[in-house]
Amino acid sequence: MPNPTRIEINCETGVESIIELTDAEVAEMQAMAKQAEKDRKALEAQVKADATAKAALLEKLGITAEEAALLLK
Amino acid sequence: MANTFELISATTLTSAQSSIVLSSFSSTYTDLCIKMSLRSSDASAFVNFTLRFNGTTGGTAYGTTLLYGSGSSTTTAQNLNAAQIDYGFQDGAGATANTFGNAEIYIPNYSGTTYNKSLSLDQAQENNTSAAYLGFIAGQYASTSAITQIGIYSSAGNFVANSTVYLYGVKNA
Repeated sequence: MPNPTRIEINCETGVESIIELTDAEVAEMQAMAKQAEKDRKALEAQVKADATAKAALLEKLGITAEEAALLLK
Repeated sequence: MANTFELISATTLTSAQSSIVLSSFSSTYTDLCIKMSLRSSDASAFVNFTLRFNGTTGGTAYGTTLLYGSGSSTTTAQNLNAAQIDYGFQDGAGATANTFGNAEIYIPNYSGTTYNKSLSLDQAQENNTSAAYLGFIAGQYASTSAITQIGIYSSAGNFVANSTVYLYGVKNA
């Protein structure tokens, strides 16, 4: 199976080149992607945690999200 | 105040690519602006893309601060001393069919050689079936070297065909 490719655009000439990644580039790309994917998952987990904490707080206060928004206006 | 935009490069992918690299653009503009429409082949609905300049790999030259909203909440995230500008948003294969995320990046003084480089990025990941994301990034590339190459990388999967990248040079006179 061939390696993934990248497109390189030479903005001076307008030439677009499709280049197959070397094994080293694939390894490097996977390492960088792994870190970015880890960051993305952390981001999504944070969104969920924030939503859960918000719902719990609203319940504790005994008000709806709309009523809370009204208080902040 | 910048008052002229000049299209340097317009690219529409005709096949899936892991990354998009822009090079050999003129250093004579004041600023650069990139407008992109991206979708990944990865199965997730929400996929990141990242940015790197001048072909750097590894290191700690990049800092990203993100403010974003998902429709039900807003929050922030930060990734400092990193190897890339992080937290770019794009649609993945799990998002509504035929929708692409979009982003605009502004890079002032990209060809300067005295100061570190900063950028702003505003972006949306579109998804009509569940949460979608709107985000704003303040980014820094801690290098006094002129930016001569811009790499845009899909963090998972490949950028699919019909993803587009437009590079503009901006002049202040």
